[in-house]
Amino acid sequence: MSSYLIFAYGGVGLCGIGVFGFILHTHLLRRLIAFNLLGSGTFLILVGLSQSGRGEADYIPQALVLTGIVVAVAATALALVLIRRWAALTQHATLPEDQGPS
Amino acid sequence: MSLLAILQSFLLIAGALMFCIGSLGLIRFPDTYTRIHALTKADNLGLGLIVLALILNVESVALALKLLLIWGLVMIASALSGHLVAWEADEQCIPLCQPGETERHLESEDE
Amino acid sequence: MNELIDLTLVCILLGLASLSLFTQSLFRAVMFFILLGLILALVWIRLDAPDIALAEAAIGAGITGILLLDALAHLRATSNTPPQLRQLKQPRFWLALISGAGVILLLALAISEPLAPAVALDLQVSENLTNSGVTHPITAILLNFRSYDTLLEVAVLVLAALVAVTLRQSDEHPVVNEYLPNPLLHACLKLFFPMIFLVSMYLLWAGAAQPGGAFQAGAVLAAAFVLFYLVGLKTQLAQNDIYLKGGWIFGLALFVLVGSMPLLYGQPFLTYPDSQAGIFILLIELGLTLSIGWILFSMFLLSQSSPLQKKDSP
Repeated sequence: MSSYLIFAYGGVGLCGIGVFGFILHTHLLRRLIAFNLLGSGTFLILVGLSQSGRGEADYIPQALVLTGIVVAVAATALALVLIRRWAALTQHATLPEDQGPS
Repeated sequence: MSLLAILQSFLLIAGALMFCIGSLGLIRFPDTYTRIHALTKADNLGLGLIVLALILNVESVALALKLLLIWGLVMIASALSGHLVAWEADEQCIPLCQPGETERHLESEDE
Repeated sequence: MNELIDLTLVCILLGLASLSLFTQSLFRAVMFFILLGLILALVWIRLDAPDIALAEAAIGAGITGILLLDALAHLRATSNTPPQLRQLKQPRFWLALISGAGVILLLALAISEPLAPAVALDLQVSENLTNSGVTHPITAILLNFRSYDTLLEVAVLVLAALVAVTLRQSDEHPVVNEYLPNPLLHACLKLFFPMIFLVSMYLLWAGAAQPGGAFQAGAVLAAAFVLFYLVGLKTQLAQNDIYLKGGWIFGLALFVLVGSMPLLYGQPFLTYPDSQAGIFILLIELGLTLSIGWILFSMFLLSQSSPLQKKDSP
């Protein structure tokens, strides 16, 4: 197994952990972390898989991932602003449908 | 195996050991102040040894100077961050751990 | 031997991901996440992608870490964060477990099939590289071949900043320019600032031929701005809305302006004349660097609803 493919499978693992955490947690900050893990896993699969087919560096997915990382940090920053506004208004860091009696 | 390679491997292994010792100190030392002491000192020495090993391999003087510059900058940065952590801990009145208090401190941290 | 390194890195990656999701303390979760970003930078090096490694170290670990830690301090003050319990009897746990396992299974099945690319895009890249104005393929793709992507990406950044400024609490007290009153911090940062700017501009310049470019340079610049803010220098500029918003749209406006210039000569939008392409790309990248740095910094600034507390000395 080439080392590129190993990292693609690592990305698969990150995606799985991300989805698991995203559904399990109710705290919004933890959900945001899980969402970011899912994103990183996707980037790893994208680059690792395309390079494992060629056996050398593939610049096109790398450029796409570079764009993706910058957009991901913008989305994270926006989500944090929203979470803080929500927390300031309601004193909770969870969504109302997750604040059940449990 | 040439003499250069032996010297390089010696320096690299010694540097890695220094990092291990620093991390061990981070885990085992009882309070904030002693932990920074372990991290900032041991890791700087470890990085220095690794930089020395890498310098033996480079052809151009410019590259060697760049590596030395990295070492210098990391030393200033780690001295600064160590100072800031200790300063902040002092502001927050985090107490120094006296000898013999280690067990109690570790227990209270696990809670 | 190399596979051993890769396997170790993947194990560390997955371990850190699990730790960052399932530790009890939120602070530790954020710390593990920052650590994950640094390990990811190493992974990108192993994947022969130094550009992404630079961006991941500066953006993924640096800027995201600052933002998360900052939000954490704020959330701790205002909202009660109940400890996360492993609720084995809840349907939510089983739903999460099945979904996670399903995603892993499906993706693993999907990538076990060998790829059969229909178009050899990489050949087209290497054929046209000589006409692109730069010699580094990634910069050529980002700013010449697929410059629409980059244009829209900057538009997304501006949009995110605009939404953030709209959500700013109108009733809150303005951000007070208080700072960490530490003399050593000031002295060292005065030494570091010129070097950080130099590194940022070098990354921009080197992007034409080596790994580097506008995104990495912008992230380094944003870090310099944040440090500026923490020692309380020159942040009056950021209090003024005209400078704040002007800085955001500067890069986008310059991009559109330079991209429209070929229209005067009957060429399509965003096509550069072959002989001048290098200058065009450098100009656009300079605007992008300044704007990306400024936008990332203002996202940090806008989320500051409570002023930095100056600690009372005991």
